[in-house]
Amino acid sequence: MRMSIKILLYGNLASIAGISSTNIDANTVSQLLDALAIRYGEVFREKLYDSNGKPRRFINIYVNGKDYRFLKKSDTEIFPNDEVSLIPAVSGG
Amino acid sequence: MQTFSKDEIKRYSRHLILPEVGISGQRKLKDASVLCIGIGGLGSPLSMYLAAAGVGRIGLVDFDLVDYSNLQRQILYSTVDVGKLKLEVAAERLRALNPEVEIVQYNETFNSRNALKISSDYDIIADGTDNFPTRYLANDVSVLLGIPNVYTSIFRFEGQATVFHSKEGPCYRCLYPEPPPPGMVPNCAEGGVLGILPGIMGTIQASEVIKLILGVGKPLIGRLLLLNALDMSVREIHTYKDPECPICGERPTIHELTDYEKFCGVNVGSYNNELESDWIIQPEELASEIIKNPKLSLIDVRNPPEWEICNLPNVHLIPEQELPSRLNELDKNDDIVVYCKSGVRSSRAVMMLKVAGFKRVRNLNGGIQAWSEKVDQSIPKY
Ligand SMILES: [Zn+2]
Repeated sequence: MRMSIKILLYGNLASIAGISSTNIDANTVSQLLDALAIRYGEVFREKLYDSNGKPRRFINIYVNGKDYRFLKKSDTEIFPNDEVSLIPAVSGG
Repeated sequence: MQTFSKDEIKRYSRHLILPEVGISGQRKLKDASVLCIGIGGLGSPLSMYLAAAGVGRIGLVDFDLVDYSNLQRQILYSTVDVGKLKLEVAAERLRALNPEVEIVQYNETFNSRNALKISSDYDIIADGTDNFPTRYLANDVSVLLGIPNVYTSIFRFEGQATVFHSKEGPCYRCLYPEPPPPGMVPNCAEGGVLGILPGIMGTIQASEVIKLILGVGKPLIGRLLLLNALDMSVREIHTYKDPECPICGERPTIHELTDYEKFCGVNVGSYNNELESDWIIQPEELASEIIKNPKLSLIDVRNPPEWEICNLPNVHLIPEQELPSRLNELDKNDDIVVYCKSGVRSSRAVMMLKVAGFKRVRNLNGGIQAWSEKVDQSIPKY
């Protein structure tokens, strides 16, 4: 049986998905983002990607606590039981 | 070197008997100065604990008046304070709490013209503002002056806390190189916030300030603390200095403060700027058009809980963030008026519909709040 990746969603992403943690199967960060966008629909996709189809820069993506910008970005490989957090900037005070 | 009176020894006794503080630590607190940027939800507990702890000089920057909607979380203020200047009420409250500390008031917006001058008088700044432009400004001030910026921000049930100190770790731009496009992340006024959350996060912020002053423990430098009050979980993410950071990286390109509203794509106070006048409708005009034109189509772009508080009759509810995917519910040839709470979200929605090819779309100037003031006072303001 395939072991899936644990996803933690924060901020508006959690509000839109209606859930703050879930599991998904994927081999790379980019596959994972696509799978999330399919699962949670257009509004979620629009929050996740800019108009050029790139992940938005104000959403930080951490693979096992490491920032994917300092790994291989969207090509960063992920493995069963990895934990991926999607954390948007928030500004409330 | 500061000395302590008998009264002060009594006041600070629970600190003085702590090995990690003691007389020498309490003296550090008395010698220290901290600038609280914003005295709202976060700034309330933050400034109160700093004053209680005996931080010698506390600066407060804010220009707002106390509003009823603040009282659910901004514990510096009471019902009798509604309508008063926050700064005045806060200073009085903090001086009453601890007359030994000096409270300095800055009754102004924190902006590119005054920020460096104000902040250069302080050892530490604590960012408790409520918008992205001021957060980038506070960051750049902290990097340019080489002083720590103790940071917390909140969203609904979630808080983020860290200490940005570019001499020892990442800055805000390392963590978030670009702000979200306007409207992409709701603020507390648009998205709501659990009243207790700024209480939790503001006290975390105060703890980090005190630890930095005392030089004890392990500060949140290079660590982002994430708290979710719904499942009451706390996580920690390691943050890294970005060698390509435009202000604290290896080849910085930012050497002075810039235009932060432009950087964040917002123009506070003049949100209708991009809309020509025939794309705007005043509440009084709408009131008479509703009667004359039965085909007028009204769209409410607020969120469902806001709709439950108050709404206009015969309106189509499409929250702003769902609008792009629900255009098929609208007719491009219809005569449409869009509203939200205050006119900001609806102005973005009007721009969006305009770009999508809608022929006649207008923004209700001032939103349902203005409608309540000018047309129907039975509509509650929130
Ligand atoms: Zn930086």
